[in-house]
Formats: sequence, C-alpha cells, structure tokens
Amino acid sequence: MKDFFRSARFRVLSILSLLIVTFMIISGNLSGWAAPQSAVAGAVTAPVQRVSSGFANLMGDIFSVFKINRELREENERLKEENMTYKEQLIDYQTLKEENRFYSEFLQIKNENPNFQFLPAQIISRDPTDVFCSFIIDKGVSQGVKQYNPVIVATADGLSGCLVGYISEAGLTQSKVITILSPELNAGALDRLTRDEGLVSGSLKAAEKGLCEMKLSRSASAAVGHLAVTTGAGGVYPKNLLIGELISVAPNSTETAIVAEIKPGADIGKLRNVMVLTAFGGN
Amino acid sequence: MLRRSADYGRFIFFFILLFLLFLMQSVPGLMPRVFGVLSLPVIPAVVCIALFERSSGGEMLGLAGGILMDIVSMQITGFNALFLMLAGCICSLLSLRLIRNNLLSALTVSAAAVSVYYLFHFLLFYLFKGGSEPFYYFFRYVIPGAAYTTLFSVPRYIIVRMFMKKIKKGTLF
Repeated sequence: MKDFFRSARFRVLSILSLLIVTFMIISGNLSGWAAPQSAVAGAVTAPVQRVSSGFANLMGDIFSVFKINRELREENERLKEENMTYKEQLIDYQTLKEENRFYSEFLQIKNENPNFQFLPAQIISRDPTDVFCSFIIDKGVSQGVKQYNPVIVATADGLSGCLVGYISEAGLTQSKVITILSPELNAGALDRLTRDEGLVSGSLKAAEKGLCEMKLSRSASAAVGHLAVTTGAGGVYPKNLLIGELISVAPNSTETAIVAEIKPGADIGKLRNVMVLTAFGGN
Repeated sequence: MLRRSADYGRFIFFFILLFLLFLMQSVPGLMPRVFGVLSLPVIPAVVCIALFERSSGGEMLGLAGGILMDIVSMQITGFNALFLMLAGCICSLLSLRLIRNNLLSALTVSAAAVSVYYLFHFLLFYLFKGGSEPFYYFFRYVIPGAAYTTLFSVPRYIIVRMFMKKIKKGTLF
C-alpha cells in the first residue's frame, strides 16, 4: 500500500483530483461558468446526443403511426414494401408539418412582440438524477445564448409564449435549462384576472404531479381556472408570458399565505423543441 | 507491439461502452423509468472495468465516464468526474490487493460505489441546498435509483469479463 502512495500513479491521480476540485470551486462560485472539460466534451458529444435524441423521437413516432394503422397493416401485408415507402413519406410529412406549426406559432408571437429575439433549440438530453425535468438544449454561447435567458414554447392557441424555464449554464454548443418545476426558479407572477401578484416556484410534491406553485398574499382573491402570467419585474422574464392555469388554491400550513398549484402551459416532461429568448427589450 | 495494440483496443472498447451507456441514461426515451426513476449504468460499468484494470486505466476510464456524466448534470461540474475517477482507482486497487475478481465481488463493490454516489448526491445537492421533504425524497428517489442502478452491475460485469477473456486468449487483438 505504501508503494502506491509513492508511485507516479498516485501523483498523477492527486494532480487530476486537484484540477477537478479547482474547476468545481470555480464552477460553484462563478455561476453559469462551464468548466473547460465539460465545455469541450459537450461540444464533441452534442451532435451525437442530437442524433440519438432524434432517433428516440423517430421511434416514438413510428410506433404511434403503427398503432393508428393497425388494420391497414394487416390488410397490406402483401404490399409491405410499397406501404413502408408511404409510411416513410408520411413521417417526413408529419415532421415537416410539426416544424411548420412550431415556427408559425412563434411568428405570431414575434408579430405581437417585435423586440423578441428567438433562437430555436432542440432538447438533446435530460439529467437522469433530476426530478424537476431539467434538460440540455443544443444551443450555446457560440449561437448567442447567455445565462438567465428565458426559455419558452408557444401556447396551444399560438397567441403568446409560455414560460418553460431559464438557462442556468451556457456552454460552448449546449446549455442547461432549469424548468419552472424546480425550486431554483423564482418568477414574479400575477393572476391575469384579479391582478394579485405572487411568486412562482417549484416544489418536490408539485413537480411529481407536473405542477408548480404560486405563493400569494393571504388577501388574494385568485381562484381555480385563472391564468398566471409573468409580471416582468426585475427584467429577468418579459411581461405577460403565460405560466399556466391555477388548478387549486388553498392556504399554506401556517395560514399566512395562499399557495396555488399551477398546471404549466406546456407539458415540461414531454417537450422536444423550445425557443430561447436571447433578447426581449427588458434585458 | 501486440500488447500495445491490445491495450489501445481495450481502452477504445471500454470508452465506446461507457459512451453508449451515457447515451442510454441521458437521452430521453432510450431507457425505461421504473417507479419514476432512471438508472445510471455508467457507474457500475466504471466499477466493473476498474476491477479488471490493474494499472491506471481504471481511474482514466472513470474520469472519462465522469466527464460524460458532468455534461448533462445540473449539479456542480466536476463532481461526477472526481467521484468516478476515485472510484475507478479504489476499485482497481481493491481488485489488485484485497478481493477476488468475481461476480459476487463486482456486485458488492458496485452496490457500495452506487450507494456512496447516491448518498453524496443527496447530501450535497438536495439536503444541504435546503430541498423540501428530504426523507420523502430519500426513500422515494434515492433508494429506488440506487437499486435500479446496481441491477446493471451484473450484465456489465459479464460483458467486461467476456471481453477480457477474449483479449487474454488473443482472439480479439
């Protein structure tokens, strides 16, 4: 054992450990700074992750198509080759249609908010140890992404943006996003109907149900069915970004405030594409 | 010359294995969730590889696996790199001096490494950061996650052992 501590192997191990701890300390103090080894490894692996993510999405699409066309599949057993060609064309069409819908929704938002600057991004991976659905996107500093940029998707009616989270760490070609389900995100919000102001954040129990929470003052008159939007206070998020719909309103355990559970406007766990707001006039 | 090409071939094979496992655990949809948790197959893979690597290969491959995990980790960068590098070193030393290299030892050492990882992860990145309901989080996510991850030790060990036997026989490189 003493030989090990005298060996060159131990010296190399000590130097590497010291370097990594130094990067950890710098990373911990300079929030948003991506350590060199992660930045380089991320730049190299991001294309592969993108391809793998695309493959996983494609497999999901193929299985959903098979489910719908079960009866046709039985009948078309004899014409397998011809039907596979038609199905491949259908998948290509659906992919293009989805992309077109995605971009046309944001065109509407852009028309209503001309000072918004968007950057489309694909979700390429998720942290498997994170219960708050945080994810990695395929855009980074080299494409104009900065730390604390809001991340949004279009609402179902395409009329406005829906807050998904913010960029917590921007690497060279990929960035980490913390979602509204996480307790690390705090956004000023208000009930669009009653104008009661509060603070939106996440909690473990709410995140398990795919929800986030809004803390309001005891005198607030927010009710179920109302919509929560961002206030724009502090300039971190633009005004009037949809957060979600209030699905329950109840006093907290000490009855000093009201806690409303919000169903986010987007299904955070199932997102595939998002938009990064690189500029919105308030920042 | 032959030995050197076998070394390079071995490292390349193990790195590709770690990379594929990293993709499995980080790309959504490639691995099923069990009771709402995902597995981290890179950790038992690093342990099993380190049990066969008598030189500094264990910690180097641990470092590579840890850097890959750090890319997608929302926590402090470098934690996974440091942990897996030290785990690789300790496992290869254990295999060299203390324990026999068999399936039972691999399972035991993997379970210990995975448990320590999840415990540190819980303490540093949840409890000490003021996460709510720590007991609930520990029993609902940490224990099932550690158990699911440890299950991967058995196939990993078998794959690595088969590969190392082929190398020793000279049938691969």
